Amino acid sequence: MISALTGHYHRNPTVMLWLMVGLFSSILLPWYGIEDGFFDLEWIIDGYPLDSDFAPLFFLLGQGEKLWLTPLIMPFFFAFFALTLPQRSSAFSWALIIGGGLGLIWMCGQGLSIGIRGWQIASLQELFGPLDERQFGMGYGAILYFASCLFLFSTGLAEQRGTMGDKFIIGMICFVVMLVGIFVFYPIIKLIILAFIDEQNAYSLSLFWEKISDSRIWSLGCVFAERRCGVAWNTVFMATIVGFLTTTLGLVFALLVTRTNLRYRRIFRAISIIPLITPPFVIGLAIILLFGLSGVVSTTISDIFGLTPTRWVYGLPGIVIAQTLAYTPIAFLVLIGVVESVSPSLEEAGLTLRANPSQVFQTVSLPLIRPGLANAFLLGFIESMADFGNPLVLGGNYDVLSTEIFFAIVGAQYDQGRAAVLALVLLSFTLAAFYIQRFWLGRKSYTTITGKGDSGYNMKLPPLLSRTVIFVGSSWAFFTIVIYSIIVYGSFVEMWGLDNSLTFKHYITAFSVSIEENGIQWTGSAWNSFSTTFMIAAIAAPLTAAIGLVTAYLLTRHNFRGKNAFEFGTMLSFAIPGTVIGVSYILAFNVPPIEITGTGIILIVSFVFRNMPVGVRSGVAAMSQIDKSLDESSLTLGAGSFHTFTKIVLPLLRPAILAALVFSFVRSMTAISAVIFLVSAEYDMATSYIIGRVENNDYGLAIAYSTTLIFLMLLVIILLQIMVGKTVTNRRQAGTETQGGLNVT
Amino acid sequence: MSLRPKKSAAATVTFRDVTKLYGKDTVAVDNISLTVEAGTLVTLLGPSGCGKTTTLRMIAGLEGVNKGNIFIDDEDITNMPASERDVSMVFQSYALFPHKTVIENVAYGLHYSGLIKSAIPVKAKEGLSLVGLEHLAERYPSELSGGQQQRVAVARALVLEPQVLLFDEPLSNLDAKLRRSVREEIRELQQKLGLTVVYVTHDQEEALAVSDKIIVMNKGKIAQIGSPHELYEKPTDLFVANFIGESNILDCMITSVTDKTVEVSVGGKIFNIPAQHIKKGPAKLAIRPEHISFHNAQKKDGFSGSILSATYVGAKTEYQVETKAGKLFVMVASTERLRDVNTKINLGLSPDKMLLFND
Ligand SMILES: Nc1ncnc2c1ncn2[C@@H]1O[C@H](COP(=O)(O)OP(=O)(O)O)[C@@H](O)[C@H]1O
Ligand SMILES: [Mg+2]
Repeated sequence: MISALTGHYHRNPTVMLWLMVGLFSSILLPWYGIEDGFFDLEWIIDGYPLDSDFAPLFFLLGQGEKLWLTPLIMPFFFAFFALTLPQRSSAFSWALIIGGGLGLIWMCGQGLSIGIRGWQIASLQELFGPLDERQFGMGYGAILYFASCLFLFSTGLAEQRGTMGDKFIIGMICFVVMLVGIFVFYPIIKLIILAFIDEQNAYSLSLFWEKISDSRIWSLGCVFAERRCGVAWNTVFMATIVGFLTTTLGLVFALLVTRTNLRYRRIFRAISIIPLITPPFVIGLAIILLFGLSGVVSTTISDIFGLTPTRWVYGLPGIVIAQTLAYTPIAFLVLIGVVESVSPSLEEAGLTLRANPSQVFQTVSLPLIRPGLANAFLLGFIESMADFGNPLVLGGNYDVLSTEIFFAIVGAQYDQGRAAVLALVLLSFTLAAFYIQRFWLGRKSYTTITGKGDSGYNMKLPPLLSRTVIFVGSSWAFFTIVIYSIIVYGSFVEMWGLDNSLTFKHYITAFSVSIEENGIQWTGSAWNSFSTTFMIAAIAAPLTAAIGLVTAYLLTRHNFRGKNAFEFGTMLSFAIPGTVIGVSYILAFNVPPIEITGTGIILIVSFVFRNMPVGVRSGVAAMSQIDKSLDESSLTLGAGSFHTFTKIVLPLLRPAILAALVFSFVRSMTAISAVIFLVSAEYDMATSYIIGRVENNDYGLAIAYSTTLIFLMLLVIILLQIMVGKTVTNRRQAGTETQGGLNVT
Repeated sequence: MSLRPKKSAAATVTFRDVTKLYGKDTVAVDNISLTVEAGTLVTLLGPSGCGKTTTLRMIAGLEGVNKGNIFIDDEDITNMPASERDVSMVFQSYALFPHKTVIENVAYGLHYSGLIKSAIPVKAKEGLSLVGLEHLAERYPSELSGGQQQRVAVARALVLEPQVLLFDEPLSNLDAKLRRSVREEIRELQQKLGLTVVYVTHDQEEALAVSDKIIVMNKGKIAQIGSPHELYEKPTDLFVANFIGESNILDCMITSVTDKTVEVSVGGKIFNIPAQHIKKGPAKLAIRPEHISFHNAQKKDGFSGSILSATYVGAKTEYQVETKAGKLFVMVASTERLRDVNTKINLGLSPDKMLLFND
């Protein structure tokens, strides 16, 4: 308004800002990444600004170096030009769109085609001849420049849309799209490309076909002959069993907690949740301590019956038991929501229509829960496929995709191509499951018909079913308790199975501290990875929450073209197994333009984008509860969207923010599958350190460390819980909840 | 037309000293006794939270009883499970099964009623045609409008030819236009089929319109039972006088009571009104707004006051008048001349329309 009144004296402040940022970054900041690390500042006294390693863009060009960067000046001209034009004119917006767009395209183009060894793409080399210069990953200058182009572009887009456009909203959309593009899609694309490349760096379809049709992947030998099946079938088989078991047990627990009169059913809720904060493979460890060669159960049975212990648990049985324990809570969380959302009045209507309780359960309750069951099954299926730790610890000869991928990369074979192909196979399975879950089930789930709700209670289970549910649930809960007791107890045992005396040895080895003259010495072997893990989790959590909530805000409060694709893109990383992320990240990010392998940044980034869907989910759930008129009223009072978001919406979102924080924190502390590819000597993570101990048969230390992690996370969660306070939901007003697409992982 | 083996005439519902507690000390229904005659439509009327739904749910068997007994005809059904009672209910939210089509919804109860298989579709269609929705049989509830959903819910309950049919605020999810016609349809069906219906509402106008008999409830107790006319003209307590229709409630003093008349003093005026059951001393006087009229001339027996506000609402005009006895709400036919705010006015109160209640 003001600028319109006072004519051309007041320039568009957003354009001014991003133009200044762009100029600042190209005149003052080192263009390329500093080799000593992102946060190292030694370059200031080390030849800056002329040394080409540290020179800003303009200094590079001024000295005649890296001349392919020259077109990057164009956006500045366009932005200056735009500032001379009247605002709201279409020329103004087009100048920004073209200028910013040029900058973005050229940045990507040159970054992807010129790397450490000159031309990256063979055909370009033929076209332009060899290049004797090379370039490294993007540094402060390049990153900020990129951002400034992005926001000039988005401002242009916002202006195009006239009054409907909002610079902040469109800027945010562009920003999120860019991040998801770079950190979710780009690595996957790299992975796909790699699957098609032969040793000579040439594309080869036939080679791809050869690799993908490998009988080691697809053989059905175990069905038709006395041979082994391919990894793909092994994986599908395992995931199907686990999906089925977790769903069944999840339903049992959900019914037990909500539909029986069992006195202590709340305890079951707590018990069934603990595995969520456990690194999944720790359960695998406990299974070994119980059923392994020197496990308690095995040795006891062999003592009594005089049998020699076998290795039966190493392989499919062990993996299935461990994964079922680990992933039942996910099914439980999904299904408890679904079971509770079955409107009591529907069941009561059934009863008044002369159906007895078990008939009502079969004809009303169960059909209404069914989409939730399928949902839970698919989640278990995806989790099981993506799991890496348990197959690694317990797999024995039973090969699955995630471990095969790992061994293809780190093992003696070192075959990136094979890893890429296996990763694609795994990815297509999980994506298919994800697709089914979202699109097929999304349509099938029954939304409750609107209308003022009746009061009423959900029906208790018919007696026989109730007894079955209590029996199965209690047995499983008992088993869970045994597992955790074993974990805690095992951490105090000298050498499991051989020397069962109790000791603090493992804790001391891991976490000893000595006080010397020059201060505290963290002498324990675990401190390094422990502090790294804590730091990385602590940085990743708020970032995850932030990007998740911003995305949720965009999704719930704004309509824009491509919104569905946008949503799908942001939720996609949920379906990408950690192993695939790990492989694709090292493929994508150990070469320019983004060189971050071996840093802490790559770990943080991988966590943020893996956990983003949960942030989005909880954000969307929370925001759809907040009445839209609330922030609309603030908008009409003259506050811009940015102000609305920070002053009105954010404070109301505290619970969602904390949920996202907790989840992201826990996940960062417990994840292993992606991490194991991305850790480095400098940035080792707790889980990969523990896995390393396990591989050296140092179970004591591994378990002691895991126990510490579990208790630490319990502590963190309890603290956060106290901070938020418990949310009380009114059970008598069930009618309004929705069911279905809840993703808890 | 009944294909059911069981006898199924409309039945009488009787409550004998029934009490319902939630938890230890929330008394939702407090020692009530009532009778719903066979073939009549009886309304449970009262403000929100007074225990209407609870009473209804006890008839359906969805809520246990803490004390007392419930009978259908002569059978004590207090402890009979819901599915065995010959009672159907139309829920406030309709509670249609979202995973079943309209016809499947209607047929649902028939499957559990001991009918022969082949009779079920026939009966279900019959039920749907009662509410005029045969053409929507294959739709899912989510594909129906609110009014249509409501009819399906009614049909689903009706086809069972229950001894008692229950409605919990059946109009509350409909828009205002539909309400009048739907309540008339319900009443018509009830009379045509001679059903026993217990109907819950908090809307007194709705209750007056559809009921044979109204049971007014207040705080878990029955305040009064009577025909619409009785409740309107002869409320037996202040709550009913105020809840059914609108009343002006004034403080008054009963100065003498004889066989023929009661002398009452209000706002400095003395009225002699026909005998009522009342004791001497301070009391409350209720008079309906349409029983107060404007006097033009300087009559002596009226209240003088000044007009605070005037609201034209079509056929009637509503006035607030400040008098010595307090603020009075007066309703006058709009055919009378409109009076301005602040006009001094004389009010005439007809003594035979005054109702007196001891505090
Ligand atoms: N399930 C319940 N638990 C606790 N209190 C209840 C429950 N259902 C009803 N009440 C209480 O009992 C009283 C009567 O409720 P209800 O019968 O639903 O009232 P109405 O239908 O007349 O509005 C209210 O005070 C209500 O709060
Ligand atoms: Mg009610």
